[in-house]
Amino acid sequence: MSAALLLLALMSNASASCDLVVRGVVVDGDTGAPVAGARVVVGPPGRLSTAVSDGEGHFEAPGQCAGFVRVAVSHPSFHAGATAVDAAEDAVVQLFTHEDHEIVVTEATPLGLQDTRASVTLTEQELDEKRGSDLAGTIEDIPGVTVIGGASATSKPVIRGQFGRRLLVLVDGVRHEGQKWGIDHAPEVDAFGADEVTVIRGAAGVRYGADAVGGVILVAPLPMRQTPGVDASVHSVAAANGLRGSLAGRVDAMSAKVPGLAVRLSANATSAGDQRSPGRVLGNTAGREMNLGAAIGYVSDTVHARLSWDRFVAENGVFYGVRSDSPADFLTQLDAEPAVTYTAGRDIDRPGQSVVHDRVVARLGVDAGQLGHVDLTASYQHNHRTEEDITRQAASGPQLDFTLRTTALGASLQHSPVAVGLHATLEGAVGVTGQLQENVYQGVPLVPNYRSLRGGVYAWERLWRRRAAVELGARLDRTSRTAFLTESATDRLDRRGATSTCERGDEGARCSGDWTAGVVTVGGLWGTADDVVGFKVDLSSGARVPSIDEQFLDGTAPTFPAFALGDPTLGVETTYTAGGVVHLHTRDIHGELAPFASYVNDYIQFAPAVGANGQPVFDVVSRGAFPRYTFGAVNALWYGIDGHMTLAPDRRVSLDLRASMVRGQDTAGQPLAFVPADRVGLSLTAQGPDRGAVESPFVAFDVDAAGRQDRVPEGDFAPAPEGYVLLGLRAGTQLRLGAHIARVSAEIANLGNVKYRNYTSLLRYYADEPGRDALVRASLHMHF
Amino acid sequence: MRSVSLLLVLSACSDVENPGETNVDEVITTVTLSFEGPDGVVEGLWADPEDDGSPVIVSPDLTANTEYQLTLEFLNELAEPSEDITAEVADEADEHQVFFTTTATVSYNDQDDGGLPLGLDVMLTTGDVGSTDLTITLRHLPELDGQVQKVAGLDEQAQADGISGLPGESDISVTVPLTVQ
Repeated sequence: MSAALLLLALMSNASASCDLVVRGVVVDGDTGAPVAGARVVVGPPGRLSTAVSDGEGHFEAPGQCAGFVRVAVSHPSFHAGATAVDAAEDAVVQLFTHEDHEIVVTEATPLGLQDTRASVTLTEQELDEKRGSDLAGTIEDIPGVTVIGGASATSKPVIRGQFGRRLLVLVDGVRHEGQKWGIDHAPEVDAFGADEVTVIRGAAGVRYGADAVGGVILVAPLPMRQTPGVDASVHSVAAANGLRGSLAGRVDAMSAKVPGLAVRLSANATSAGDQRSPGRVLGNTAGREMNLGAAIGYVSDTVHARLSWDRFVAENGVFYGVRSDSPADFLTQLDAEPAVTYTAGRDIDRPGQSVVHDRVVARLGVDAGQLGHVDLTASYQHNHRTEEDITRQAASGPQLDFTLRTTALGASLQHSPVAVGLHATLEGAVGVTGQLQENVYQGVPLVPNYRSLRGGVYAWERLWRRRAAVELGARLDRTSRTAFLTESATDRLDRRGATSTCERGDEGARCSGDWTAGVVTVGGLWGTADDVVGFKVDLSSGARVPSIDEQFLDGTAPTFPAFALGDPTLGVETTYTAGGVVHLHTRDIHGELAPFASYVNDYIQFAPAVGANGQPVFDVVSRGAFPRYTFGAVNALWYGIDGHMTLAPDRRVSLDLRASMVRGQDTAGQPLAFVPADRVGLSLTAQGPDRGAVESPFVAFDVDAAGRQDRVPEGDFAPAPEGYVLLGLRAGTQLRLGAHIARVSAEIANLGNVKYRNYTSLLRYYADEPGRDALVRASLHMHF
Repeated sequence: MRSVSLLLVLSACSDVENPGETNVDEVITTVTLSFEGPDGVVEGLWADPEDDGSPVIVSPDLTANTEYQLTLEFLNELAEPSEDITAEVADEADEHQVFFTTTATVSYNDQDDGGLPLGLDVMLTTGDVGSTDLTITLRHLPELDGQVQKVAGLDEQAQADGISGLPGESDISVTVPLTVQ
């Protein structure tokens, strides 16, 4: 739904006496209709003025001085946009809309100088080319992002080598809370529900939570309708490998009789059969996913309120070939040719996992006039996960059963921009957050129940002057957590002499901990006046409280043949990060390069235990001798670089290059585990001309290569897999059908049906990754 | 923050504070060995009632070059009350088999409905005086992807190639030293 060109005409008369008038018009890019009630803040230099667009979308901001003027546009139903124009000249600024309702300023800030960290936003059009993938698959082409896979058709995102506990996923502004410590615990997020996905690489703890040390993934739903009418969208995806199919629909409506009141209903379903790796069926990797959502919202000039609910339901088989019952079985199958040939089907058998995630979010935004904008959020998430093992027929039900309940409240005040001197503006926000989380676990000994209470306060301020900005931020979180141990778990802990933080009761024990974690960030960005070069720098510290598994995990890991032991005495993990971004934006080259380095004090790692004799330690349980893996703190160093470059971006044929490199080691030089291998990618895209209803047709050829991870810690069960090269082919177009837009695309992934294994995938111990896949996607966005 | 905390605490549920040791019906923590020979019954034991890798092992004293009838019991002592798994294994004999790795000679006394060996009841003949290990592996061999995994010849395969080359998964695999006098 792109390329509806918006014109925001800014006209001014040169004058030295600060009596220029900036005029413009705000238009809905999809319908061409003017947008009333948009808040436009213009200035400085000199004076800020706030204007509200009228019924025809026009606004005027008088009292401007000559020089660069920052123009920020916001509306309750739109993603906010901002640009800077030189008020000394007659300027015409082009604003493109890439999707429903959204105003995205591209022309005036081509360097993307919005955030002081490296960030990439996927718009609806880009997401439409990824529909049918899970969240991790949706973002995996972004430099610096890889995926970590389990032994079923699920994956979790990795940013610069960090995942799970060190990565935050925010859905609709709310921290996503599920079991996320296991390698096969994929985030329970409806990828079809995303209208925009932003990936921030690097620590972003101030705004999103002190544990966002690796990065943040922001999943934003489409803003609710703001004018009477109906929007609807339908997506369908069909894929050959595993005969996957998805169907998704969403309807948004506002009645003319009750202006301001908008409703939304959405639903989608995906069904997948067993996947195929080259020459082999991955038996029992079938899966099903279903999502439901409903929302009601109210919009007026000064208030926007929304109540939404969504439910994610998924059921996945775990590959039959995963044999983790004893280390001997595991080691034997590593070298053996697969003994069993599985038949492809759609049944989900044991072993398997099921998860149901409900999220209710209530949000209220109030325009507090001169004070700024106040946002209040309350949310509740209920995550129920079960994991079923192959059992005797007499044993029924799941072997692992987790219920995680999370209640969160948040309040923030984004103050109105304040003029500082003649040439600068100050914008910023303060906020408080509170969260109660409870985990109820039933099953074979693994993790305890717990209750945690967390409160945080934060503030950030950004000083803009023309195309440069400096940002300062700070956050303080206090976490209090009590683990409730069963009697047998307490006995086990007792024997390890690790109950010092515990209060023993009649049955079991309560082990409490309190942590304070602070975050400080200093960042800056600067772009040249001709927009050719831009720089960003971000220095920050982050602090992460040890998670429950890192403290109390005690048992054999369900999908990994190790005896895992947590350490109740672990403390806060503190990260000091320096990151930079260099942007280049010329007629022939668009690109960015982002180096980073982190020092982590008391980095918590999961590694094989080594005894006093220098040999691995084994624990003998009833299923055999398991190597002991423990959580322990080391000081660690992470560094790397990632970036992308597009050559000839506006020509018929363009070339896109992307690369990621990350290194992780402890201060003794020992490599850390699960650090992704180096990656490079290349896409050659040929763009056709628009003809009638056909817009932006393209054909693209992709090459993606990963090296071998040579830097691996001692104690891995199998050597790191070899590097590989995958080829892909894509083609697609957009069709404009009156007010409606359709997008169709086709893709062949792993064209050569190459056999390969991924270092960061659990499947690498058992089988090759899935082979060739052919996908067809169709999306229809309708506006009535 | 106080009022926020109060609000949050109000929604707390008490099931968190009373953890239950449930759904542990798949675990086998204990194996008892009963050797019936010419001089009566000798008991052996492998037990890890907490399933935490600190087993209690009782090594039986046996007589050299003597035939014993060895019967096994499998228990789950994590369950409250402790659960006898032996009957379940017998009921599902068509997808279970016990394998014995030892220098002593072992022959199966019991079979499943299909006439394939089960291994809850075997004859064990000791060798000369000395110490030897007896590794007992209960293999779960359920139908997988529609294919039967318990077939004839598995014991021979285990003796030749080791346990880990077998289909299925080990429900337990414990080693008890035998003292042969």
